[in-house]
Amino acid sequence: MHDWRAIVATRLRPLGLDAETEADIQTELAAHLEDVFAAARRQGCSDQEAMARAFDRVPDWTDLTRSIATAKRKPVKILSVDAQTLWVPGMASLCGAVVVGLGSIWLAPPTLWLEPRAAWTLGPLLIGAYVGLGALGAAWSRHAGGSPARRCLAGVFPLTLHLAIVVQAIGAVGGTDIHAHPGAIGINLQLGMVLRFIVAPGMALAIGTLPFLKETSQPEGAGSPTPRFR
Amino acid sequence: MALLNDSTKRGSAELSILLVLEHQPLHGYEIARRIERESDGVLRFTLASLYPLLYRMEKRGWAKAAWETTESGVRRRCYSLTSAGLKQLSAARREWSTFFRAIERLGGLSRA
Repeated sequence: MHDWRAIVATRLRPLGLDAETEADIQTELAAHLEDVFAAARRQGCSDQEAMARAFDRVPDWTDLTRSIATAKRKPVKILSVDAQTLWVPGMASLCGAVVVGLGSIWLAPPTLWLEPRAAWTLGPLLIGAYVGLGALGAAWSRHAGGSPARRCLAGVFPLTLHLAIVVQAIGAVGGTDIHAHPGAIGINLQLGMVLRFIVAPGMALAIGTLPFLKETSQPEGAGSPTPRFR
Repeated sequence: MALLNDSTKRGSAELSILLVLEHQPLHGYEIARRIERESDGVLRFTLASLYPLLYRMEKRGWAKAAWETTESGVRRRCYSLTSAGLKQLSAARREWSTFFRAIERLGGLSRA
């Protein structure tokens, strides 16, 4: 009767895992070798031949140690799950919105902004860009393993910038022009700002996220391993 | 039967394990034994190819493992497929079918 647990324990190098996991792995491998040995004995092999057949299943103990340690090791995560699935994709989308905003100011001729129909020229371009930014945030979040809710939030993240600007602007308009402008005009102005700078870009961003809200059939990054057969 | 070369076997180990675990939970030795027997010895696992793969499948949520004690008192870690594992098996089946159909259309298998 061989002590397979001791045989494995002396040959398998430390895996760098917690003691309980290492003990479980040793028990599991020992049971496997014991089964190979027992099967060989049942087939009429001598004790020595059966041992050889069992050890034939482990041509290289160092390789076995390394393979198991690699498979068992938890991946080192520099960023938290929140950062990977929400903040980083959201900030990427937000940075894209800043680039689009500044780019449209720099690239469009100044006279275009004074043109009443400028909205018809720039509007579709900006809306299209925002659909793309929504898609960028959501796709990035999905790639990082984000839930549908997180993908959606990452996609519409640039709205935080819009909200900050619009709240400031509405505050400025409401605080300074209360006597200079009739109330109706002030409300229309504020409503217009909300529609143009919150609702329209928000819808564009949300539309961009839609294709990426469905669950994927398999976890991201789960490629096929390349096991070594004999 | 002649053994397949490494490149042909690449990636097939995962499918093999998913297939034998499809209908019932099995421990490591039994998984290796069934694959070897049902593939006429073409597919053979060493411990270094079997267990890291099982641990990865467990980590990905495709398989779950539970300790069981046999009547003789020996502890065995039995693996079974999760719903994610069954989905993965379905996807792998489709991929391999597509691959072999493509090879067949090239006339590569019928002349072997």
